[in-house]
Amino acid sequence: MQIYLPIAEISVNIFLLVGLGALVGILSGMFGVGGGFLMTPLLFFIGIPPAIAVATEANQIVGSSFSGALAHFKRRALDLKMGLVLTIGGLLGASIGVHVFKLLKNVGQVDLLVTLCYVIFLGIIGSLMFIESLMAIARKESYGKHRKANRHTWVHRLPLKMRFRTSNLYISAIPPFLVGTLVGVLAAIMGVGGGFIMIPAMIYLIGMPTKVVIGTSLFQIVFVTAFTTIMHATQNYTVDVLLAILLLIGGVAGAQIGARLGIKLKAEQLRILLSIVVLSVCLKLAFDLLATPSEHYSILVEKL
Amino acid sequence: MIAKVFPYVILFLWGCAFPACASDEILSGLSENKISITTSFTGSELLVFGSIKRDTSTSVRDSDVIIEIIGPELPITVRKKRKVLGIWVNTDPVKINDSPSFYAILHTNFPELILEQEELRKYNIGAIRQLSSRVSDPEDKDVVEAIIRIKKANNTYQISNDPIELNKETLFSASLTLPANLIEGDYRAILHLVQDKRVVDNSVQIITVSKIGVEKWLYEFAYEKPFFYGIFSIILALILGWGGSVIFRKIQ
Repeated sequence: MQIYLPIAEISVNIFLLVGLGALVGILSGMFGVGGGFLMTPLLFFIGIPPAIAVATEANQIVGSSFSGALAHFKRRALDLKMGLVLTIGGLLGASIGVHVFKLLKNVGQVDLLVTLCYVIFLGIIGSLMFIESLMAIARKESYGKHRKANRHTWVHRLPLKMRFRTSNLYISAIPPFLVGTLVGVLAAIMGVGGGFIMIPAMIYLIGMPTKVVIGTSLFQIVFVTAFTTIMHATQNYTVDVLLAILLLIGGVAGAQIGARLGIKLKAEQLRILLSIVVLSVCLKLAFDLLATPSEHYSILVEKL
Repeated sequence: MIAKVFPYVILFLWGCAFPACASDEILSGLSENKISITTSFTGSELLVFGSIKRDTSTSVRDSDVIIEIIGPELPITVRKKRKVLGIWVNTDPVKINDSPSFYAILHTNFPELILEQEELRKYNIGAIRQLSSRVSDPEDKDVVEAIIRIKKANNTYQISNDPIELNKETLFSASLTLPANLIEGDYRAILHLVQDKRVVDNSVQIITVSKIGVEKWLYEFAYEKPFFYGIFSIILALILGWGGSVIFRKIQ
């Protein structure tokens, strides 16, 4: 059954969209990742224009992160003050990102920007994940030798210090602000929540306790992706709400199934699987950039 | 619009001014004058039909019919991919002010065989002519060819090699498939009657393509009130995301 998407202006199979949502939902439920970094490239592959895929994905993430954020909020498993600093940075980053996006869209280079960002980030994350899960399998016995975060680095010598009670930290507001900004830029350009950058940065760079990390990052993601959605809707007219709804229907169901599957299956083997998926998507995108295209020309219709 | 209709108006006046040299006329009709883009839109069949109204005072002349369907003309930018630092990058943008978003041509005989060059030019018949008349730089020949190639591939240029039949030298009908990626607006069906290597009569029909229902509402909302559309999109996502997880917990 085909459905005509009003903003993308193409006709796509409805079951393909719900199915994609479910597939990425299952993966994100299993691994506790947002899934935006997989969904957006998959949307490119089925023929959704990159500009629409990115903006619509931001819209979807608002929905898919909300119930998680709410659950952590109820359990008080988040640092509200840290969340606010990250969010303010994120809003700035998202505005910068959307403006860069618009600028490059006008000169016909936005597809290249998005694809390059994906190749770089998926390449780094996929490789890191692959190596780490291999190592985790290798050192199964030596469990417990957990790495301690570097407590006193340059991060702690910066000015504008603030007290974050929940995280039990007294540090400069600059690092969390900058982390938030970077994540905001990525949300706007790549259509991702940015948890894959934010969570490691919170643990290793800022030194937050792990129990509040996920709740705090979800808090930031909901606000920043909501803001990104509005920015893309008003600046680029690229949010396709019908597409977002269909992906969400599949995604919400998939995430619940994935969360249950994740408990039963072995984590390390699964992580290798996910890293292989991430690396294959990265390779496909890189191949499209490097291989001689079958058609050298492209047409862009200027809407009035 | 006036510029496009102008040659036909002149022709019509010409016909009226010399009633003595009465000639044959072309009459036309369409299966549909309105095509609606709904959520389940996957394209549409269009039937163009008509007849040649013979002038009884003269003998039956050899006639041919050319049918063109021309979609809304919009500005486009064509870019060529070149290798920059090992990766393929869009370069050399070429802007064309009015490029038909859709073009189809059907005929009883190849236009190049039945019409003088002058006439082809005058009525802008044929896909290449439709475009090259808008491209100023002759070096842009590659660009015109690329547009035709790309549009043929996505069915927004349809150049039929199968001649349509002229039944009893009078009646004709032709069908074509309008693809799902139609741009909204007025599509013109222009029918040319050709005799003795000249266009002797024309007939124009308009087909209006527009979104309706949910499609129209969402599209207009997104473009006319983008801020509220953004808010609306967020609220829908929040409701689905939250509601969905509640429902699933209940099922469990």
